[in-house]
Amino acid sequence: MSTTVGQPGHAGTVAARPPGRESTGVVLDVRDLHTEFGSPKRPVQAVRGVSFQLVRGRTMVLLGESGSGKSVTARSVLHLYGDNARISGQALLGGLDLLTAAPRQLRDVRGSRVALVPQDPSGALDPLRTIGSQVIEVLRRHRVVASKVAARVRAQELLRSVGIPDPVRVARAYPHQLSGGMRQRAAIAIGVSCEPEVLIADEPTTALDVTVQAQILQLFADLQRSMDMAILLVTHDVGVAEQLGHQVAVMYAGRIVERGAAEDVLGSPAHPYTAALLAALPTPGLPRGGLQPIPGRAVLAGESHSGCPFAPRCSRATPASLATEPDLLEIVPGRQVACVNSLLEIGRARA
Amino acid sequence: MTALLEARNLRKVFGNGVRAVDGVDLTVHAGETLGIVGESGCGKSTTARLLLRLLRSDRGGELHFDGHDLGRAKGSELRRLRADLQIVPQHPMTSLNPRMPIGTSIEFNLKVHGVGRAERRKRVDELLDQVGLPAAFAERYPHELSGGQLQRVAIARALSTRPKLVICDEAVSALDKSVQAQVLNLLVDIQREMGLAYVFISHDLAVVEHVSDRVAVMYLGRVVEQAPARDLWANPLHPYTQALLSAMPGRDRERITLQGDPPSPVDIPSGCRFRTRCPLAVEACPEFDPPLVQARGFPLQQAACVHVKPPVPAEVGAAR
Repeated sequence: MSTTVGQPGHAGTVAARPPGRESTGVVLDVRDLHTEFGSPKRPVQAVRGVSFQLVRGRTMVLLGESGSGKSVTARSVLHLYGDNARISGQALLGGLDLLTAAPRQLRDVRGSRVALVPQDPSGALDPLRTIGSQVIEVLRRHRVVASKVAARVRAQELLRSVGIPDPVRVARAYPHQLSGGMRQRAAIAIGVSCEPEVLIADEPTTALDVTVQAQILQLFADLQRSMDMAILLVTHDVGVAEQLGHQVAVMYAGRIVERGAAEDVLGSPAHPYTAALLAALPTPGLPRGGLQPIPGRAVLAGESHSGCPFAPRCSRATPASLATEPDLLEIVPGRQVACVNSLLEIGRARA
Repeated sequence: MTALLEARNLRKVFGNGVRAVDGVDLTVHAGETLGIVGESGCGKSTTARLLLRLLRSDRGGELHFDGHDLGRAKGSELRRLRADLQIVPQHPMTSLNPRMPIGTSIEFNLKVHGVGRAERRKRVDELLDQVGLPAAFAERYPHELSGGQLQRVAIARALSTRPKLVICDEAVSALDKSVQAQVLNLLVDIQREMGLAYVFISHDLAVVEHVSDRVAVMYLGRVVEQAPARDLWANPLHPYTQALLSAMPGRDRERITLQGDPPSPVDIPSGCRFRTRCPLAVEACPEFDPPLVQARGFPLQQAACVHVKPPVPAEVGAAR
């Protein structure tokens, strides 16, 4: 394929993922997160004991299919469900636990130190206000700028920094006057306006066309490099996970079932679900009709199961799989798997 | 190979000035799968509706199906042709009647085409079996089924009249990948069994590559490149196809990043419609609207670009 095309500043050959930093700067530490919806009598457990750490300058991907609990995890961390969910565990941002913080403290932190880029920017942007005023609002609320004039200048700089070619016009535009890609850029500009330590992006490119998606993914990588942010990226798309993720955590039925460096997890999956998910994807050259689907369907949150929730669909399930739900255990440094059989195999290989 | 469906110069301008489809030629041969890829607003779904005669092409468009003039068919002839021409829509949840058991929904399609009651019941059982659902599902309502199961019902309904061509409009796009693979394999199995043809419309390039014999790439209401799937992926000729294929997410791919968004279909650029985003645009592009031509050295590939040279005369005979 030709690589000579592309224009300065957007050269096509740059690998989107910035090089990982060696720092161990953990900025967000999520411990044993549980999120439950519904009445206490008939609870729906959407997230069942999820722990992870976000590191400065690195992207951690929550990868999973619909109903796996990946979005609920991301939104629980920001405490966005209010009284609509029962949440337990900890989400430590420095010394502050976001899950127990007072509403006032949360308002100070959201948008400034932890920010969200949603899947659907048209739902997140106020349709009755201009893009510019919505960027300015965040800057003023968190006192990033001294004056109204400074805020306007900074808003235009931000819009330019997310690749909006004519920020003056876009700042005066209303959301409906912009394309989907431009709206998502505006939402990203708002997200990064206060240079947050943590950016949570929930399926940020799912609604976009593939050529625009490529632009936005590149933008995330560029912004991460310049601002040294930790990014939590929620996606169902293995390609997106591969492109941006340093770390990948695969979720199934409300839990992380496998975690490790992106190239390890996606290159040589250890959990049968990860392996089956990758095998179900169409890849170039595969004989037609030769896809390997995962039989059945996933357990939904609130449905009861015993033992490993993936066991009914798993080709490697044994009686041990049905006995107890496996914990997420380390198989090699930096790599964790929740599967009885994977652990046994590794144990045997070591013996 | 005989052409099952032949569309020439399809056009559709909507009342609001949107030139959704702006001169599309397509041929579908019996038993093959023609993939159509393109981004939102490129006219893929409008093309589907034109091929199904759910919309009528504007002046100048010609549509022939199975030896009949589908573009001008009316009344009973149109109904008869439609039995051979079915659709699997993107959202079965909205295309199946929520108050009707799914067996009745499938039967309804047979009733429209004049099949008697006893025969209909028998066919519903066969069809459910064919798409891998238990016969007892006939009594269930759409909300009781998962997305993958609903899509199987939509396929069963489309197959009920034993069509020659099924148009799949983003038929697997709403499904999770693990379930998508089940439905794709089912579609391929059915094609092998029944010998039917598909027009497979999707924005998902990997899926289209997997199921298609030939692929048409659409941009702003036109087909800009058409080729056998393997050739298209190995050697895309049109700069848009090159950018589109390179934009697929994944690790360390060499990417051609296009600038900006596609122009509005209300206000299509003069000359070549891709020139405003094209990294290879030259002076001639605003003047010259390139037709879809066979490419020199690539007898099975057609592209609409000033940089794609037509074949030298000796080569023309090799074209299909």
